[in-house]
Amino acid sequence: MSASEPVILLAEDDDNDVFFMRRALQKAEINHSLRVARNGQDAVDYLEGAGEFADRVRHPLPAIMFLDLKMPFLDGFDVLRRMHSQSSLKNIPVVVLTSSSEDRDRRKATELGAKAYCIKPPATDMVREMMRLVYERGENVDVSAPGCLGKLSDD
Amino acid sequence: MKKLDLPPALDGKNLEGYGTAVDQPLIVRCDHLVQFYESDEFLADCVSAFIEEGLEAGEGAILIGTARHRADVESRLLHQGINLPALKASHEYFSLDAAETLSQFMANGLPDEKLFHRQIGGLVAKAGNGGRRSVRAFGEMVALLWDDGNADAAFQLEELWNELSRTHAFSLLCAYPMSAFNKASDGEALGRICHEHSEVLPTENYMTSGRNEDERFRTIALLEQKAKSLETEIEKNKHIGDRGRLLAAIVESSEDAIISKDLNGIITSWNNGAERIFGYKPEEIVGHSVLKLIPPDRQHEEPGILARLRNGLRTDHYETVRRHKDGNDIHVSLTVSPVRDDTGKIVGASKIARDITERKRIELQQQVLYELTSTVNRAVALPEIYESAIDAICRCQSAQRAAILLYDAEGTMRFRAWRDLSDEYRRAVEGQSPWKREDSAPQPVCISDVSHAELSVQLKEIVAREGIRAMAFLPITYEGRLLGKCMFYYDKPHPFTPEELRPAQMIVNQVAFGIERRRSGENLERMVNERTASLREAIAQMEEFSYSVSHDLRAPVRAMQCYAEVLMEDYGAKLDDHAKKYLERIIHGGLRMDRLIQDILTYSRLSRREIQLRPISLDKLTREIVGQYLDLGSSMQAEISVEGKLLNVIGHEASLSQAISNLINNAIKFVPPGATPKVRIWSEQRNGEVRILIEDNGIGIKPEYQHRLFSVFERVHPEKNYEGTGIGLAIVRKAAERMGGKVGLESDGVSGSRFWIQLPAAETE
Repeated sequence: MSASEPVILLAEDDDNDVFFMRRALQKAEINHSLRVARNGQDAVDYLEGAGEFADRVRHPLPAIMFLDLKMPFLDGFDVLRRMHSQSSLKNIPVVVLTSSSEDRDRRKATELGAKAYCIKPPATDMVREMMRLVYERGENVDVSAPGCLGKLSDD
Repeated sequence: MKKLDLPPALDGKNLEGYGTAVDQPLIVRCDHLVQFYESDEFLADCVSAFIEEGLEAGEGAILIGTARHRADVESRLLHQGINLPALKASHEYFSLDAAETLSQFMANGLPDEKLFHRQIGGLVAKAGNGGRRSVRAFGEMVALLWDDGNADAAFQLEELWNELSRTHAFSLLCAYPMSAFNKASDGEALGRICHEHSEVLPTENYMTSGRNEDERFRTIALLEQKAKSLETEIEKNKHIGDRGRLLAAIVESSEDAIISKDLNGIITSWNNGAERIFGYKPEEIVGHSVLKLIPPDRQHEEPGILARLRNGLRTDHYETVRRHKDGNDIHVSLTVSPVRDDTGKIVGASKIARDITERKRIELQQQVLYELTSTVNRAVALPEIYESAIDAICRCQSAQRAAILLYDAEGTMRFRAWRDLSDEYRRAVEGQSPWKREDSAPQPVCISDVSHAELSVQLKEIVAREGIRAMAFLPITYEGRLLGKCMFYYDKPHPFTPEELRPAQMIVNQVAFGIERRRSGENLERMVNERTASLREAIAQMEEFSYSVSHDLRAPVRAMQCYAEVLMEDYGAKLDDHAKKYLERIIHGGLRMDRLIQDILTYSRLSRREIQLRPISLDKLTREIVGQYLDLGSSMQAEISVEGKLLNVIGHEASLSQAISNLINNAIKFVPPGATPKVRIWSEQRNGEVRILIEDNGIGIKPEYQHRLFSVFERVHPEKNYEGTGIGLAIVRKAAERMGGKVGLESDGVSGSRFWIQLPAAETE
């Protein structure tokens, strides 16, 4: 964690969804700086401090990352895989935020280390709960439906 | 001529008129008597009395007889004190040998009239001293002729005597031994002989006792009785004879061998059928042991058959093997029955043997064909089919060797399987064929004798070296296409018949079928693999599509909906009621669209998802779902009751949960406006399965619409009244089908519906 203000990284290619996320954070009164990567590759570059993101002061590692699954270049799973293979990244909590309610996506995301699985659109309550869990408990959380919270079972 | 009604006793005393009527006209005074006799003694007595009486009365006498009879008669006459030599000398008595005398007037087997008159007429005249005295004659010549079987000559001679009596005065005594008339057919001749004579004297049996009339009648009665009984006996014998002849004819005309043998197994009779089947003529086999017909390895059978026979037991349709005279074995079916004499004692056996070689051959062919068909049907590898076919050909056709050749990829016929053919031979003939590949109807080719066949010198030599004398080529075809050929060979010349090739033809057809099936099987497998691959690809594409739908199609809908909500939240205060209502409609439309997409995804996921079936506690699952409803749907005011403990089922929990949720949803939804939904849920056993039933108090579904209900996008009630995507029940059906179950509905269309899902039962503790 850098000394600068905490950062939330959102990997999302859809402008609307970026808008809804920003709005949800505002309404939840979370004042973290929101950094948006527009595809998987940008997200990985940001996390690895590659290229324009080399300056960790200006681009610190996020306190939490919200990750869409379906994105150009690298998708959400690729990002999870890359993070899982790097010790500096694999402890960053990742919340998958997707429109897919497919079981296989949920299973795969969990296997690759996602801490929570939430269905779009992001609700204010959900965002608040996620932040709370990250800071206070750090448990795996499954959020099946917008606004609904629940724990992921261990299997 | 004088006729006597009754046979007189010939004791010489009451023979009225013999020689007493010298003064009467000659023509009337002539008697012609016939004496039948059994014994020579009796004859000698009769004849000597007849002659003696004449001689004593001063008549002439002639004795024409066999040497023995003459000696017997003369010894009696001499005994009576008659001076025969003196009488001979004075030509009053003549004694002549019958055969010798006969020869003097016989010509070409018949008596010559002129010679007779000259010889016998002269003799009678001499003895009668030129008609001055009467003559008695005994003649045995007719009896000799009769004895020789020359009846015609005998009758003619009798006639000649009778004619002679018209010109000469004499009494003639003829004598016939009764033994000459043994046959029934002799009766007519006897009658004719009697007719030729003026008096008939029966044999001594009836002559000696006939003193008075009463005794004569008794004799006649006895005689009649005897005749009658004889007649009956004869008639009976005739029947037996007829029957015997009929039976003999039947036996002779039988196709089967009918043999009789004694209890030692010695053959006593042998019919035509036996000769045909076994090859022996009756004279070659009758008197020999039946073992001659039995092959060495079957000789043990005969003692058993004979033992059964002695115990009076038949041996019925016993199928075995016997040996022909030429050494070949014949399959026969034997029936051996005991034969008894009149007293019921078993004296031998009748043995009927039917040649079943042909039947056995057909049975073998059927068996072989059956085995081959099974082999082909088991879809074994082709080489095994070829081997089986070669074996079948050799057995069915009694061929020593066989081969199967098929076209290879280059269009050359190659050996695929063979039996007992040398490498050299195969090399030499491979690639040769009597047909061209394009021949539409290739016909079998048979060579009965290679040495006379039109073959090239070279080929002939190879075939001869191989020891082949006859062969047949059968085309192997399938649907008119020539695939190859089958050949079979004989070591001896072999005359082929079209019928004979039939089993081989069938075998070859099986081979063709086997080959083709294998080919089409391979084609089919390839096709299935291709289809499967393309289906897999289609499914993969479908999954990709669904995935895209769930992500991409929902994104804009969600955006619309969310923006509308944002608008409502952030600017609601600035909007009038109309604008707010429109916004609500946009939000509502978005919700519906999202739900529709989710339902389609659920349905397609159900269709393609691989599911594993396991026991499920239906009770627990249902109560959880109902619990969620009652928690969430307080606004619905529904009353849902689960009755009793529901039975366990085999299924897929997520699919079943989906299906039950949908049915409960459905049950609650379709109620008349203002009514409180009441839902009852229970389960029943059905034919070893479990049915869960969900009954509502809704508006029901008319029977005519019920069949459409479980299809995708089918709605029975207008959407404006009852909201829904039209996929819910299709999801229920798909889920049930994927779990190996079924769904159904009972409703009269007025007072609610009863939906059910039926699944395999699991044990319920």
